[in-house]
Amino acid sequence: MQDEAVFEETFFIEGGNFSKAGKVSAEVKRVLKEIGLDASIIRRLAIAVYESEMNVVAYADKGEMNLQIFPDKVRVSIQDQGQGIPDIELAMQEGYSTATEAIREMGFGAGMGLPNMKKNVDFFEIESTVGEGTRIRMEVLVELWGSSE
Amino acid sequence: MKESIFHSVALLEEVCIGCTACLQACPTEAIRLREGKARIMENRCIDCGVCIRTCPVSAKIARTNEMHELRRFSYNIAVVPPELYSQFGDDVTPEMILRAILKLGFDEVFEVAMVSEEITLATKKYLERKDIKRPVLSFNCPAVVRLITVRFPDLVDHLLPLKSPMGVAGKRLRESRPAELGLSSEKVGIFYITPCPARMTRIRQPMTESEVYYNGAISIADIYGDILIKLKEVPSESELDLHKSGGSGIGWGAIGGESKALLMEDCMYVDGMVNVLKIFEEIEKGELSKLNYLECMACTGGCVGGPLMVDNVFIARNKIKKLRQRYEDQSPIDPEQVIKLYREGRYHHQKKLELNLIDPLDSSPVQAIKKMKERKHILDTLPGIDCGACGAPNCRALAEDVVQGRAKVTDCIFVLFEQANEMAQRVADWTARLPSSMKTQHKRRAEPEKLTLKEVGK
Repeated sequence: MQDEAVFEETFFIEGGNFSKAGKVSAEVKRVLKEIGLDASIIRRLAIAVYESEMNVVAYADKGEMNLQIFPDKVRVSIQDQGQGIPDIELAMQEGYSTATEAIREMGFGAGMGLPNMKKNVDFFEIESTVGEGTRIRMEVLVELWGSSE
Repeated sequence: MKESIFHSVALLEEVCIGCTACLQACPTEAIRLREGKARIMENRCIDCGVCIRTCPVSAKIARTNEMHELRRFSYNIAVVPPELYSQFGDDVTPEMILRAILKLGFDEVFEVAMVSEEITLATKKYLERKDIKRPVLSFNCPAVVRLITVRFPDLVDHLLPLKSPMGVAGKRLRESRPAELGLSSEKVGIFYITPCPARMTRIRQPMTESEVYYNGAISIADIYGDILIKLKEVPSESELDLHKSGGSGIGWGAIGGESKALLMEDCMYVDGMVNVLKIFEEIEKGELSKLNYLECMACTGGCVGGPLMVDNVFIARNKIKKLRQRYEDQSPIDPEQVIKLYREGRYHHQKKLELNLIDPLDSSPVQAIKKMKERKHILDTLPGIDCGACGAPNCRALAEDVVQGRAKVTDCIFVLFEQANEMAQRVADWTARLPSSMKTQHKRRAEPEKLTLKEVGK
């Protein structure tokens, strides 16, 4: 059954804006810290969110990240508008990258983004339509009620 | 709750004019205006001294010890950091300065720069390890370490687990000198000559030691004038040979000194609180993981730029550079002995660093989320101009203060004005409505005198 989200916030990512890259994941991390989630949970989510934000910046025109906190999990959904991914299985392979020269010059495009995301979360779902965009949904299990007095 | 925390930085209430300058400058948003005075929140203050620098009326001070306190002891040792050598003219050598310090009333001087070289070598050994978190962060600046315990808990594991030179010096002197002098420890005074309040705070409340080794710290600004006078009395020739430190240790007095002493690839240095905050945020994002060592100092220029230093920071920094080069071939340490001590763990911290976090909003995540939503709601009603009139550094801080019960939303003069305006409107509405029992217009026998605005105010 779908619980109600105890907390929800949406962030916007500007495609191609490398100087702003990482701002959204920094903000998400700040929120999670203020809530007082476990440090290892925050670290995993921060990595996953950062990688997904970088993908939007590097490959898409724009994207929206939705953070939802439930009593038993944290869900991050990213929907972008852009070129999309033609072969998802290929994209999920470590080391596979479609980064342009410009992106590689900035230090990105190692081909580890999507695999890294999947490694750090408990649930990972990805869909994409070429010419339209990509949608990713990730969840990390937490115990929100457990630590309350 | 912890026992009361000692803070060197303090407010002189009688001098404070409540101007909000320090509120905005504080890197941990630790200052609030209450009753017209810029008061410091103890659990947030990291004693960096930015407020001391910012205050236009010198209402913020560093509480340090005074020279007359030396009288409590039979024997007094001055622990002198290399940045002191930068504060005088080019013709004044470290040797002369150390002699002047003796003339001030100290029985012995100890150069921190000697021990800095040891720590440099120990750090090099530590950095050979592959299993450590990179970049490794310098432990030297107490304000930076406190910043980490307050705002950047993820970086605690990056900190170099070795004592600062000041820490090594204090422990070594305290454990050996009294016995060597045939005096009880209480009779031996060990004082650090300090460029800043952060060192004073660390001396009084060392975070990683189980004991206090120093008896206090003397501010460089306080004794500067006296040193100038004593320098005139110092003979150019004497049997004393006090200056033993080499360029590598002296370099620690300015930003970049540690990195230059290490002579290793991928060392970086950052100075100034604003820049340190930015670089820490980068590291938290996962950037700079290939960097070997990062030297961060709260003050621009490093210790030569401390709030209790006298000379212009750029001139002082240049002087350190010259001294570093002039004495680069001098080295007082025994590398084998240092490595032996390192392997025995003698440079390591004795206690684990304790965190003193400002986040989270509440110990219960559920309550924290509630407070977060409430804070956002309140923030939406605030004007967002971060003026400081409410006593908080910015609107977000006020919203959080309200949520945590430290302030009222009407502390914001704009909110107060809006509410007063609304109240005035309502009163105007009511007075326009005659009771149903009365006729629409009543005949008066005479018109009362109309009040003008000028008279209303009287």
